[in-house]
Amino acid sequence: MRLPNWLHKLASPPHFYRIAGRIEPWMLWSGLAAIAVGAFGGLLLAPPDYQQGDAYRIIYFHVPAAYLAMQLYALMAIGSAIGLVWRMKLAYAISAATAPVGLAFTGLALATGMLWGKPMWGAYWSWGDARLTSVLVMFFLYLGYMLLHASLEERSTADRAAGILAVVGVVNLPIIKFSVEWWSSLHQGPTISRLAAPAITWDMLWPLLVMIVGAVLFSLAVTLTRARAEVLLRERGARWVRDVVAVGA
Amino acid sequence: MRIWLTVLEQEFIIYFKKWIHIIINIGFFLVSTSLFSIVAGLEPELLAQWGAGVIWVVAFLSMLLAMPLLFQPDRDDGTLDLMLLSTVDPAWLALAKAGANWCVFGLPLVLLSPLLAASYGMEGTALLVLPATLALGTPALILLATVAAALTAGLRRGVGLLALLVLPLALPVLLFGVRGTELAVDGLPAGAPLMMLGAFLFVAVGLLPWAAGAALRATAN
Repeated sequence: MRLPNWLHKLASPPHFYRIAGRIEPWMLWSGLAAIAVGAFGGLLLAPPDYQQGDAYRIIYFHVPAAYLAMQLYALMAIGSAIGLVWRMKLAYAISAATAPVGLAFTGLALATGMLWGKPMWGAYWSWGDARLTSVLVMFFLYLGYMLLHASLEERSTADRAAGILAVVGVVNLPIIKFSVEWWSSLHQGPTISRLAAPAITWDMLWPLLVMIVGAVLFSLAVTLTRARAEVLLRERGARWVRDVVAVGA
Repeated sequence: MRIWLTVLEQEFIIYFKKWIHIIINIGFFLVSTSLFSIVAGLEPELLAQWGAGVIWVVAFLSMLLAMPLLFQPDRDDGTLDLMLLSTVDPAWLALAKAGANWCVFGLPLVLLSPLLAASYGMEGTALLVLPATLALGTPALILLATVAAALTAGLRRGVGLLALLVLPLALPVLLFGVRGTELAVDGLPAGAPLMMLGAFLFVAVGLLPWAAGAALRATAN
């Protein structure tokens, strides 16, 4: 199977560097704006929950963080798979740039989940709970990816080795997704579902959706910034990098 | 297939020449499990409850001790590079090495586990269910370890990293192994966790050797 042509063009590092540099500020500022609007709507405008009171409002941080933790893992794994199959160096650079961002969002999802769990379940953590355990596993997978990447000296070896780990770890994603349905879990069921009507009133839902969109844009902007730096570092011998650095673009 | 058997045979010869490793492995398993029961000083009923977790975790740790032996010696003396240069598919190589490693370091733990289970006060079917969970779970652990060991074989201090990579992947196996044993200790049917472990093992045999083979290629010098 061959890659489509536009993807080939995008895969050239100077082209990617330029395009990403143009998109990135838009994503960053629109993402931050959406997060501000969503936080305002979620923390101040949305009505309190009849069961959980005001404590439920942490959902506006917890759900976007957890969602991104998984999406960024998928991005990292897809990047690694593309790199392994088609030997595309840029895909590896994006994977390597994604890992710390994903780790941060996984940490945020775990931390907000623990803070939410204490008042609702009476405990910060429950061992043996499938959802919590599988997200913790993902945290360690991100960590393992980064440590393995950092400990292998030669970059191409590190890319491939860490990439294999990322791809093997993909089995964890469906486990996280369906853990609440497969096993009896302390964790509440999904609030938003693509197929069913949401189990949440619109007043509470719209800030959540805005927060998710904002968090996605923000995380992609951060990832792109990191990926651009990664590309510069990896291509530091190339002429175009010298031109870019000289101009200061 | 013939090459596969040759590799397997060779692995056995090497492991039995370094038989001290096997003794250390079994010794670690026995000493650590008994150490725990002595130090914790639990009531007999609690001991049986804890036994499943303790025996499983210690079995995992003692196998972890032997996991660097999968590829590290062969990488150090260059044998691995020669094997990768040959026509043998590295996936078969990984499968043979995993098989030999399990027979030498995993199987004794399975065989010894009823003894330990009895010393932890388990009775009845639990004495059979614990070895059954170990028999299904430990080969899956070794197969996971081949991937991690192949990824870290080139590293100077790769053992710690190997443990860190294996642990999250091994968690489901450990959880189902312990859950099955606990059910049996409570006198409940343990079929479901055993089946999950079996399913896990099948998937592991089918996919992980190829991942390990790719990892060997990726980290070859």
